[in-house]
Amino acid sequence: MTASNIELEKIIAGCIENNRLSQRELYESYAPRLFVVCRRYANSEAEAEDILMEGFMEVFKNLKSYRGEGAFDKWIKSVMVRSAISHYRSTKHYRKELLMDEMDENSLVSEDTTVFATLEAKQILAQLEKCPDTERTVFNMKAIDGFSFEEIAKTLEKKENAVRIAYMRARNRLMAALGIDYQ
Amino acid sequence: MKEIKDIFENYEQKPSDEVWNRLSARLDAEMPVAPKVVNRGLSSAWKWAAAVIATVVVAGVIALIALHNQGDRPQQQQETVMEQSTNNTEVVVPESEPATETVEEPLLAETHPTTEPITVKEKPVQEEVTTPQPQEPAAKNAKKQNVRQEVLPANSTLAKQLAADPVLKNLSDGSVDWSLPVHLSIPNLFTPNNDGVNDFFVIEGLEQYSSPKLVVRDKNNRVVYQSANYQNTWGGENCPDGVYHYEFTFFYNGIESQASGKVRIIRA
Repeated sequence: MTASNIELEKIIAGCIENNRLSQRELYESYAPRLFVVCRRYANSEAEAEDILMEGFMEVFKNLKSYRGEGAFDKWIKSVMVRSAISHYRSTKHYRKELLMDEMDENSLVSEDTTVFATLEAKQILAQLEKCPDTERTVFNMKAIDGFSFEEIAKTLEKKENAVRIAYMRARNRLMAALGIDYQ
Repeated sequence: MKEIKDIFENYEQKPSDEVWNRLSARLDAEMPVAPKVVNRGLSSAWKWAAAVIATVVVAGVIALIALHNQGDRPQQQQETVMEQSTNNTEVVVPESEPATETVEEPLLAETHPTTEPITVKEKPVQEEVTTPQPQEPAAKNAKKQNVRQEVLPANSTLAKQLAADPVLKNLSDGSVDWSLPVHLSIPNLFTPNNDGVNDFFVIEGLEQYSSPKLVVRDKNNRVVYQSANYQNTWGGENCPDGVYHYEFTFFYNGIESQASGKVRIIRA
């Protein structure tokens, strides 16, 4: 559900003027899609709601800097992803760090995610929630939001190898949980 | 070949309505719409008052020193000054305060070289300048103004505990931002007319406390709303315009505290 371009421009202009009605309109039209982005990164619906709220605060604060270049959908989604990542980083100290001991550092990581094609988003979300935070965040960034391993390592302040391993673990975990055979 | 990201491409899920309520409360707090309806000047007014008290007490201390100087009784004098400064915890500013001004009594140091120079820490002057005056002209013009009750009420058990804490006591001079972590901001009116602004009875800071319980009574003392886990969702349903009395109970670190007061519902 996206507003047409002219309507959207109007809403954005209203939001920049800090008009609550426009802000609500923008929220109503984008929240359902962006909430899914938040759900992917969150370990519960409540956490997803927090991320969504923080993300929209960022959207409203930074809307001035959106200059109409590129699709608005992409811009607002990237703000939401950033919100999710900063949420992950802000909860860092509650987490045990990734263990690398039993992993061979040179093990090949398959980046193929076509195996999930037959599944429904709902099923995947349910399994993602159960993943450890780091694995889930890495998997989301890599498989869905199109970050490279290098970028992820930089953003999350982790070693690139650790990121690769987290990704592989998440992928294997999901495949096992969703009943997909892998070689 | 279809990839995992395609699965999510067109998948949508509506978040609960609660999120917008929280978001709009955040917007009201951080990006208030002009004309300002939420008056958050109360806590700064408190700081302002503390600054005035501090200045008065400092003046008193200086006067006292001058008085005792004439009497030429060094021992007793020092004691009195120390007593004075410990009694008035309001004036004691932590050492780290950047803009503290040190007032030395040169006369005293000359007459009694053995006595330590007495220093009086004064509140930074800039605080008085930057803090808005408690009475804004706009406040007088507005008929019914939405004034939020900043709760760290004197009668709450939490406040009593804070007052008894020797570390926190010394900080009660206004140099501490009480807004964290023990802070609640309760409005005295809200307008449930579905215009998206101030439609709910929103207690800011609620999420910091466990088991936030709200009971609202009308003039006849009938309970019109109650919730054992209040989430800022009361929109005055089935309540005609008027004044209601609320009792808000919350737990902080296992201590029960209560805040109560009047709230007005205005729809027109």
